[in-house]
Amino acid sequence: MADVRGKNNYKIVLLGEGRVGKTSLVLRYVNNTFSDKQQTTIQASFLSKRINIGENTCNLAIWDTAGQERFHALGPIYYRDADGALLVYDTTDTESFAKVKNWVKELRKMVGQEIVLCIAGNKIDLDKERQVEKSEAEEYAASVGAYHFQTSAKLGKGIEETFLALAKKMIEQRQENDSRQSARRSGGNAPILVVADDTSNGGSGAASGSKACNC
Amino acid sequence: MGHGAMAAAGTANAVRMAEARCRSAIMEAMAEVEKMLRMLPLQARERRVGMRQRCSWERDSAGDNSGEHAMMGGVQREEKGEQQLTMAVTLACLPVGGPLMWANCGNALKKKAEDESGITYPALLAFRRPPQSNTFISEIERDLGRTLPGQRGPRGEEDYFSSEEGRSRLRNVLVAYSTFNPTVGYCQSMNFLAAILILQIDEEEAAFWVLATVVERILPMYYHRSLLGLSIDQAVLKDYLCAEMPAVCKKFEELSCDLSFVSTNCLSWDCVNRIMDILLHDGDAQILLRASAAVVKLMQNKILACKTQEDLLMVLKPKEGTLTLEKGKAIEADQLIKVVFTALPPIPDLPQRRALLDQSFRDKLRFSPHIQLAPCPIAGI
Repeated sequence: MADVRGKNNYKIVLLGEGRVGKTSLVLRYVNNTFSDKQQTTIQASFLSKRINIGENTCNLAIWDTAGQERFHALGPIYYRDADGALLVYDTTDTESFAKVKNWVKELRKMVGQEIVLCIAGNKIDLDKERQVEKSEAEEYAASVGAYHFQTSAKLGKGIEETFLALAKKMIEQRQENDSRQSARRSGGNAPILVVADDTSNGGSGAASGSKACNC
Repeated sequence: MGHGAMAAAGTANAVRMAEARCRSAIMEAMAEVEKMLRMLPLQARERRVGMRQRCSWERDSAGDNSGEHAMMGGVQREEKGEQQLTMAVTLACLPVGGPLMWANCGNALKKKAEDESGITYPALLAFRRPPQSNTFISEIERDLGRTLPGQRGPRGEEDYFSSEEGRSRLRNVLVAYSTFNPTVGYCQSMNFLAAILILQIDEEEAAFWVLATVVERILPMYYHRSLLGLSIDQAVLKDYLCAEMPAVCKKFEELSCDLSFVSTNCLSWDCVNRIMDILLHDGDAQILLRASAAVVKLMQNKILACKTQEDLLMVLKPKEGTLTLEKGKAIEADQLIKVVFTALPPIPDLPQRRALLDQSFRDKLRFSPHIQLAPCPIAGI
């Protein structure tokens, strides 16, 4: 699959309950725009963004999907051969966090250990209405080997960091896979040690990292 | 008018009545045909398919209409006089189209529900919903503010679905439907369908019955929890595309891209209304499949020029805006309909294909115990 997308191309799929802000996150990230009146996404849509990481330029192919559960039946064509998944919940909605947990289970079962997972708690601008505690979400993310970030598509907070961390990890993961493949197939589970860092860590990484170009 | 109701009714009586109406209307209309065909060639052609299925007598009555045949400017020349008569029927039976025809499409189901089950729209609205349907209500609420933002209302109101009236109509129609058929409940994209119907028909109850007709009968199982109908038709579409445009099919395979990504949800408002017009008139999803194929046909060069999966996806799935042709030109309704009816054949053996796929898809679904394939418990449809 990787050759179809090219050597430096990485596929990310966005998953999560409806109206948690998946589309808004992508649009903020790719176009730096935000609208309070974002339309419901039907089935899925696609955007791409080119970023520089260190000396490498890589291309992120981002799939934005519909949130409603019944569309999950169509999910596999979106997350199959994805390098990373961004699982989004709404920090003001406990139920949406529960849906993230379902997605983690499904992805681990269907795609395996090699897909890089990142969880984003969106809408932190609505802090007064918060229902999901940061510590709880971080703890969960750590337990499943996923990154965790807090974001606000509205304020443009935490989003660069989220995608940057995801991208770095996907690159690492692919290098690991390549070297493992060349050094003969290894038997055990893919060793993923993901540090569930908090935003400040990811944030400083993004600040010192290279700037993303517009595409 | 009245033909729209018939399309949904499918009862022998309605067919007889409509045929009688068509028969007398056609005699008067024949004289006008020449003039009208010149004015409305595309509209005439777009009605053709459904009429052909429904007015079974047309074949017997088809005479020599070489005059009109020549009028069509080479289009469908290979077909017999039947074609022209169909167009005449079309013009005679459907002088209105649009909102009135749309509204009539719901009448048959409304009558059936009221007569057989005593279900009325006000009763559905007043129904005290069992707790398990609360999910539908919260899903509907989630989408209310996210449906056609900025769209003008039926009487030119600004941002209609943010207004009290627009929002409440949309909510009512969707909540009533989730009560009417809880095995479907609410499926995202029904919000757009309901909104389009409300805008066109401008009457809440009529919009509801048309929505119910589309979901129950015209696109059966499309919106069902299993998305069974949709999955089947997507498979049909793939075969059709591969038969009609093998090069495109090969390109999709080469770039490891699923053909179901071809969708019509990025078309202009005009295109959507025209497609809806035909959908409601024909009473079958075939137009959706053929319109999707027509989009691919129009975009063929752009698609074949793609070198990577990403190129192809950017062409087919633009996040914002509508699908475009070369030089960024939008697809126009006339252009799309013309391709549907002149450059692409009808889908052969559609019912048989669907039936075959239905069984295999159901077999797969049996392994998902949470998906019920039971029919609608309330309306018994």
